[in-house]
Amino acid sequence: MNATSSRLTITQYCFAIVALCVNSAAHAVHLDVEIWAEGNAMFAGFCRTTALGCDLAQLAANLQLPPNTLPKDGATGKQIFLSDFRDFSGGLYATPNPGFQSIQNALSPNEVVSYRALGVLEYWDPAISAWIAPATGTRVRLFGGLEASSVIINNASQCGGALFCFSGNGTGVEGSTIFTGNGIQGSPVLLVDAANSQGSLHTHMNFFLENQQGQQGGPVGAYLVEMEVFSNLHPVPSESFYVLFNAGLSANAYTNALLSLINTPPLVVPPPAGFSPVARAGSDRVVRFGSTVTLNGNDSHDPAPGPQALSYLWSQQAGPAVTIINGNNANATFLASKTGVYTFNLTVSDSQQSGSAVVRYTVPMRGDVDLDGDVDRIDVALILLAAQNGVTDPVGNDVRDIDGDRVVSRNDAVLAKNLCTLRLCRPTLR
Amino acid sequence: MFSRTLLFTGISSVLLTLSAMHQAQAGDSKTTQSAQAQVLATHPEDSEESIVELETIEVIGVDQRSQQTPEQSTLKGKALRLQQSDTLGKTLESELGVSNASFGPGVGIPVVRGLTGSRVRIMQNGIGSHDASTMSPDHAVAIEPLFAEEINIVRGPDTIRFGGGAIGGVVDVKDNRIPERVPENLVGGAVESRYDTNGDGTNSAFKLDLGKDWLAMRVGGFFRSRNDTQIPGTAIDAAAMQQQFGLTNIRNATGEIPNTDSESSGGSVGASWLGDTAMAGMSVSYVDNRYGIPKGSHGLDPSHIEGLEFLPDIEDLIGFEDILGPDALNPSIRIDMRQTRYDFKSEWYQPITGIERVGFRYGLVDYKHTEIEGGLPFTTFENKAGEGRFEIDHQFFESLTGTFGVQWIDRNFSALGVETFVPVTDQSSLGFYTTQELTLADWVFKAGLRTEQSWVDPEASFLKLRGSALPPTPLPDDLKYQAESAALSAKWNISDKAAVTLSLNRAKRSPDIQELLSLGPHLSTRTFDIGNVQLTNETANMADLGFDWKSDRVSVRGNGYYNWTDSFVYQRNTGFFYDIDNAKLLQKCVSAVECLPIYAYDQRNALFIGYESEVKTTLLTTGLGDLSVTLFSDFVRGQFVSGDKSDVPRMPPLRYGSELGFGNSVWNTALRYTRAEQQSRPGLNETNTDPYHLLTATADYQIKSVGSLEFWLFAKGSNLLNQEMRSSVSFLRNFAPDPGRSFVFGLRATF
Repeated sequence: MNATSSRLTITQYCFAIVALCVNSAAHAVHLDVEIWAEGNAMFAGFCRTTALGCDLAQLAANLQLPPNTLPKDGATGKQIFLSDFRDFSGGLYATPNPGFQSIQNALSPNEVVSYRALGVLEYWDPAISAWIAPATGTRVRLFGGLEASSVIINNASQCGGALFCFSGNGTGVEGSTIFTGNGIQGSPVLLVDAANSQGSLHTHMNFFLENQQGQQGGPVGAYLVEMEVFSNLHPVPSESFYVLFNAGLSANAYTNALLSLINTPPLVVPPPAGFSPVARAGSDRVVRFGSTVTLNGNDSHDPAPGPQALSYLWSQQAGPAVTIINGNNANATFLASKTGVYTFNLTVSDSQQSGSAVVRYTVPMRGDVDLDGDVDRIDVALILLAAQNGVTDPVGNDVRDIDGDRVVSRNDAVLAKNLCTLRLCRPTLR
Repeated sequence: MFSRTLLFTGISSVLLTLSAMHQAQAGDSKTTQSAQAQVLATHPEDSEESIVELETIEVIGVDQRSQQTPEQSTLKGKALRLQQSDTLGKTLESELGVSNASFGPGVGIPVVRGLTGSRVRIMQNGIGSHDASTMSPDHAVAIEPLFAEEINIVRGPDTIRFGGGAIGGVVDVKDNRIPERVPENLVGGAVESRYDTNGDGTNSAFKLDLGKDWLAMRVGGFFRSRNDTQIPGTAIDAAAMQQQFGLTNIRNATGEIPNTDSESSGGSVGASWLGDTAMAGMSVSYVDNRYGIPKGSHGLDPSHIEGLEFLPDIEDLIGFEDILGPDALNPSIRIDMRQTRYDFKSEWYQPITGIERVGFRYGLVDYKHTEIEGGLPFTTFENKAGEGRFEIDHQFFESLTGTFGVQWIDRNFSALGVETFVPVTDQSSLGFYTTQELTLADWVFKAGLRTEQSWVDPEASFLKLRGSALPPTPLPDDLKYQAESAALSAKWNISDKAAVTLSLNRAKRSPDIQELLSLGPHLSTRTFDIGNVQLTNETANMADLGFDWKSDRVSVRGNGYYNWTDSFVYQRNTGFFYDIDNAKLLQKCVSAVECLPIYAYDQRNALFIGYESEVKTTLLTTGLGDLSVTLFSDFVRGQFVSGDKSDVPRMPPLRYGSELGFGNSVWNTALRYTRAEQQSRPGLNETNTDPYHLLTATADYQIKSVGSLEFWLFAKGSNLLNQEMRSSVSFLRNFAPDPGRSFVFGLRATF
């Protein structure tokens, strides 16, 4: 699904960098935090599911980053999500971004996801092009959901008869998370959202920049906050991530702030390459129902070539049972004949040592382009947009290519419309 | 529930009817015999002569014009026909002290002295309308004004007869669907048709009275249809939207309010057995009303389309307009309402000396309405209710009359679907009451007492908020309330022209279902409602002083009232919000569009002060007709008396005006000017409304033709100045103003 904000943010950048204001097929750049669960842990990432419209190349281009640069903190390797207080959603000092989303089955049905705010608020001062502590009293305030917090009292006898009530009044600090230069105040933990019955989630947050007087506003610059996500079913939190807010900087200045983070030398020296064969099973993907999917192990290699050439073995670990064809080759295939999430394991061996890697393929139902568990008019509209942009599908796995003719066309949109499952062919409340 | 009540009802009605019939027939002969015997006894010498003294027969004339007292206003006859509109509220909005809480033209709920909803009991022939109009301001009243023959607005002590829901007043629509008298001719009736230039509205109704000897039958039907209402300016008041909800970038309409077309039809059949001293009758009726809600009221800002923000990038939507076009993204909300009613009535007159009337009424209502979005249903409201009343009117003494009565209501209410902010609930009440009237020389004293028990029982034991991470909220099993009310009034007839009335009323109202058990987003009011299961009875302490003076040429009436209500139930803004797209509870929202403020039902003392006044005078009497002038004014101010002393929301503004009339018994014309002042005290989270001038003209002409055939032609021009009028009693006023200029032409034939 697409974020209002991402498009508007990029558009806003475009206004500043007129020359680069190409047809930004706006939703191509996707800035929501994607979350998913595995084992007993939560994960948060960026562009894990490319079908959600994430385009790192476009993002790098729009931000004038060097090619192949990811917004990641150089020192820690943590991801940096981008946002802008001056997007057009709520005035100059408020933004609903980044949003959070997960695709169908990435979470359990009705799973309750919360965030935990960490660290301190950092401020990029454009005058000196450096990170310093923010001015006294300046803070970023995040209003998360109150359901899982002590702010909500769900008991009529404690609420003077009201079916539920709120502790404190509307101006209390417990109903928000306050990122300050000295640490986190208010409630560090509040609700992100609850997943729907298909285990998918898409929600926006409520960030405000407040000044010393407690009103909305603050010095022009960039602000950096840190947080992690966890849930009631997956208590091990994700690796923490940063959010970099633009508060009135020009696109160039904002990019400078971002680059200063990206270019910080790493804290940890990566360990030297080992001697075992390294299996590379490819990145997790979303593939079209009914298509033939290629399992690509080509990037596997053996740093210290062993007695024999690398052998490959693909096996299925999870998901609806399928037959793997050419499972002993670097490239194997299977037919995505059922919806679900398939996990495959690739083991490579040089007969002495072996290495393995896991890859996950998500097969949504036919027509579910935004992976929220249903076929609705957003899916139809996404296909129309792709058709307009002449998207082709040479490999044949694009979820938007409903009829499998290797081209995303208006006919695919018609097919999706016929598959529409919801009342009014649009999302309803969950 | 129903079978028990029905059985009791059936048995008692049959017994009553049988005994009444028996008594009636026996009584007839008794009376005749006794009269003759009496005459012979008094004048034995005349027994063989032909002079017979007849018993005195009292003839009571009824003034055909509408009548007003501080306690009751009656609208009937031509005055009613000229006011009749598509909704009850609109029909009554010119009455003193009454306003129309509209929600687009499809809904019009009467507001009496600033009070409405659960505080004003709307009834049909003495039994409640039992629709969903008290639940939400976008639900229409299930009474068809076209059928009305008389509408009574009752305030003060007489509301004791009707229960806690009448604490603000009663609007009783009488349509004689159960005939009360045998028509003179075998067949009689009326056919009426009218046309409204605003929205091409057509109304047609007919009623047929058949009868002979002891039997009377009434058949009636109506059909009503209109297109979108035409208005002078824009539908949505953009500045108010910005102020009240922070909404900008709205899609507005000019010249007419889209999606306000409506269609309604229905009919009733009733039959009565009418004896000399008793009657029994029943009727069945069906009403079907389909209307639209003005756009922008249920949904959120139409420019905000969750997930489809990239839509403007798509150049060609041909073939996909039905799901991605503007109408699909901002679908029309329509309401489809149906109601079937069974009414039963039985009365027995003067069964024994001292008892004037024994009466029994019972109504069974099956109400359902479906809210439809873009052609597909999303919520269904059902109300199944039975209400009965048994009364004994006495005249123990010449000067002392009164009533003893018992009233009971059984109701099952449910809302199922997407917007279910109230759970399935059973509600019942049982009340005993008495009103007495004592006449002493120039004084008339009235007193009333009522005790009522009510029960509210939600069927589920907990409520789960759809799509939310909020854990299920436990519900109480059974809520019981006991309410006692008392009323006293004294009327001093100073002369045969003037009277002063003082009434004191202490009335209690038990909380209604939505006040106790709401939990969820309520889209039509743009709020998230939280009920309160510990609400107690509201107690209204009212004093009303009225003055009445009527001479040949001048009549003056006025009354002022003071109402201190303890524990007035209202909705308090908690300061928190509900994000409707993501089903999250938040302290603050970036996007006002997605967030509904959360209101909790609470209680607070409130004070209402107001007056109604009218002066009518005949300026000139000419050969052609009488020229009369009327001056009128009404006003009410409601304020919470504790805390921030804020104003009670949605009070009507100060109103005053005059009417010039000229006519005789055959034709009449009138020009009426009403001025409504600015409402600068709209209440928290509401916006001020602008003042307006309302100019209305009417003309009617009566033609008596051959035999008993009569024609009556009328024409009415409303809002002749085509002013934009937004009513401060309406929740939806910033989305839909009152209709613009309209001319109604009608013809009624009576035979």
